[in-house]
Amino acid sequence: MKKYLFGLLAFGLVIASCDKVEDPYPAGVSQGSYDLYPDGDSAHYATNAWPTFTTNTNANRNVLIEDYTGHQCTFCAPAADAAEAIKNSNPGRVVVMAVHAGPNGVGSFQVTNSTYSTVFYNNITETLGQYFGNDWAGSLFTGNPFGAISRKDNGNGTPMEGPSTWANSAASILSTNDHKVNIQAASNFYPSTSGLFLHTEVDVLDQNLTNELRVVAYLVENELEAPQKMTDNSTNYTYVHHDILRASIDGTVWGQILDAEHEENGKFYFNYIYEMPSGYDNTNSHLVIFVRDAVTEEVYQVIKHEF
Amino acid sequence: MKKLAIVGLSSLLSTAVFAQNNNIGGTITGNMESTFQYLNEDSLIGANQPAEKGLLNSYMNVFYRNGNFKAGMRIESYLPRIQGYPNQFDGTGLGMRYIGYENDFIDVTLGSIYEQFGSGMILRAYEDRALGYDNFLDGARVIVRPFPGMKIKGVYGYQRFSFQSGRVVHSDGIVRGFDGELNLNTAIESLKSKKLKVTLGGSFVSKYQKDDRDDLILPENVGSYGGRIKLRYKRFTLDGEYIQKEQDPSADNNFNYNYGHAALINAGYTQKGLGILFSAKSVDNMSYRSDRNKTLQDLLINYLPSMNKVHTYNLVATLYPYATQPVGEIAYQTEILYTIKRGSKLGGKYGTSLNANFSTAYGPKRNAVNQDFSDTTRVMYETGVFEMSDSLYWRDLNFNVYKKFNRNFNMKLSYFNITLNNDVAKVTDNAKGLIHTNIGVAEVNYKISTKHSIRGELQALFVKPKEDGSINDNGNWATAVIEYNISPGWFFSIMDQYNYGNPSEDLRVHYIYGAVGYIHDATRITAGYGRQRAGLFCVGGVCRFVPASNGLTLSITQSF
Repeated sequence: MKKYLFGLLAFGLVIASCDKVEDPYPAGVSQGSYDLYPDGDSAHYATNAWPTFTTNTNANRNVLIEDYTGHQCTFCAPAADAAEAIKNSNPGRVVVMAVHAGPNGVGSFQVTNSTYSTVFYNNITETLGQYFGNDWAGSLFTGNPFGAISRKDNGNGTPMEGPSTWANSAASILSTNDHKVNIQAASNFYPSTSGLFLHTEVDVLDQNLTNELRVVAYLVENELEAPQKMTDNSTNYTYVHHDILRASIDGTVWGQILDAEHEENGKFYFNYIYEMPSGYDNTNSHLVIFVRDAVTEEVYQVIKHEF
Repeated sequence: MKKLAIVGLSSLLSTAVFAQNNNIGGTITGNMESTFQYLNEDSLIGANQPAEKGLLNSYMNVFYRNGNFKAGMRIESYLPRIQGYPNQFDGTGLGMRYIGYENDFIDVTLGSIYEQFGSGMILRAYEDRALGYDNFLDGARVIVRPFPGMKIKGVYGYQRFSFQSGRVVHSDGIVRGFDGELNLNTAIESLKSKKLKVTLGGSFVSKYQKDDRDDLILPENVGSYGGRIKLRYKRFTLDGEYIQKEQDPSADNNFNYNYGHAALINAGYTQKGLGILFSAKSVDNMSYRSDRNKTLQDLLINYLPSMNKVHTYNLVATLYPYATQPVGEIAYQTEILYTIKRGSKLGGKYGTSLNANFSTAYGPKRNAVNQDFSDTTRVMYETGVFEMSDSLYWRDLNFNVYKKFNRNFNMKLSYFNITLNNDVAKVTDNAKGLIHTNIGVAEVNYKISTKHSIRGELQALFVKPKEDGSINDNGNWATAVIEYNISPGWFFSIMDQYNYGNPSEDLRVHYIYGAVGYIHDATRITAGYGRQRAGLFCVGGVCRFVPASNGLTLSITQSF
């Protein structure tokens, strides 16, 4: 009998490889630390600094323009101008984000050299470029400049489109105003620790949205003067780059799920603690916060949050 | 898998042919069923006519056994599936197949495996054709009986998820497990004659699925384990099982990292004319699937026994049934069966049977932990075994009296008082919170002659109005059933379900359904026509929604 019990034990050990996870968050996914709060501990923050949201009265669906660009891309500067023009024509309704990536992630338009030495790309832009370019079956995104207008599929099976149609696509979303999701945000920034404490409230207005939804929060640099290749193949050394996607403040490319864990009274709350990277501060940065459909990729709402 | 199927099939056929040619025996058994529906549009009850108009479900099981060798297979066909059958069934093909060898010491099976460890709370791979449920393990199973009273099982395989275009689609994750059971009275000579009978058991099951999230570190190997004991002493029985599941973040539990548990206790006492049963169950976070992203009835590795009586009367069984809540519930059930002796004043000439049953389920009490938003463990709450909240999920109190008046006439009267929490175990879109119902049923059987008999049922269901006095859900129902039998082969029945209490007068509809059937040896042919209302169809606490329909249903079953 002993040998059978021994065999049973051995068999058990072979398959008893249960994984125990003490900290479920990957290294890149920041959950933050209250060490960045200079005035006290978490209890002190909760009592003295935690914001209270009032009713979100916004009745409009905003538009996110993602401009896939590169500093060595000849026709990217006019595309960036086109995006800026759409934003300026629709104050408060359009958010622009320059994604320095090509369909292969980092391509020849994004790489650095002695002239174009500024690094604009990062792991977020690289992942986005590859996903909407190479990985997306039938994607029209084959080079720069290209873009997505709230990642809405205009009937060609891809959320990506060339700059010539950006204005019309944005106008269509703005005029239809199919308002499905609302977002509001509040934050505290502490320069002494570079600690950013962000609090967001997401309200899903359209109960027919059954696909998984995720909220994404990206750090975007307002402006940076750096060389840019122009349409005549010259280099503009004093070109001002706008709205440059720099990082995800929770480390995720695709955001966090709107699930029951984050739900309270029918709304979803996400709180972040983020240490701003050196070289960035609140005077030349803002956050782009948006809610995406994890199946179709459509962005149902986006806000620009300054802090 | 394709190779395995071919090998299995050819082994089966060649062995069968060999057996036939050489007349060395072997037995082939099996059964088949084919159900055809032709459905009409009926906008009043929300019944749709499918584009194909005609629907057909068929399957045939064939089992072969020759000495120690065994094999089996099932061909399934859905062209397309009948109304309300899950969408995991499509096309024609080989749905199940296995080969195996078995003697007193070892039992080895390769292919499709149905298996259960203990009560099934840790592993149950089974099929329910009526429910449209099949989660067999495709892989290997070994059962060893090293000495009398001891049985050790090991299984390893991918679960059947669906059947698409005539091919079985498997789960993402793989399931491994073993189970040991020891009957002490059989194994130990000195205990053989003891009146106390003891059986001990233990199980371990593990699943593997690749981490598919970028924002969480998911445990890829998720284990669960537990033990059980069965005791029998004279007229008393007592058995219990406890299972613990390790961290298993999934769509069911909003990707929390809590451990789960399931505990089950059954106690009973029986003597002539009296039976008393008591059961209790505590479940928390025990949805255990081979794909963490699946929900509903998809790819469940385990089965949590229902703790409520299986009702058979139409209005009781299908309008407000309760589906077991794997995310968490504390449930109790007790049942008393008593037969008043024949010859007594109340028992009469044939005796009178009384039955009382009570079952209830509550949500587990969960004490919140880690309120601080920067917590990184994702352990959402703490709870204990049988730690119950005040959130009522289900309550069912029912009685019935069965009386045989003479050789030809008997009657059964039943009463049911049911409360269902529609926010938790949702059965209707037209109600919120608790739905209270009272149901009365009278059933009579009359034997007209040696070959002719008639059976009738009258059922009435009353739904308690809402607090403001308005009608709750679809209001009251009544059902009448008449069934006429001509033995040995024929039966005729007609049923009328009438939603006379519907708040909308237009929807106070009669659902009339007639059926005729013929049974000849192992063949049964039935035909039915009429309206069938939408409802939940449940077997053992596992439910599926069946939409309303109006049309013809033909069915043939055959055993061999």
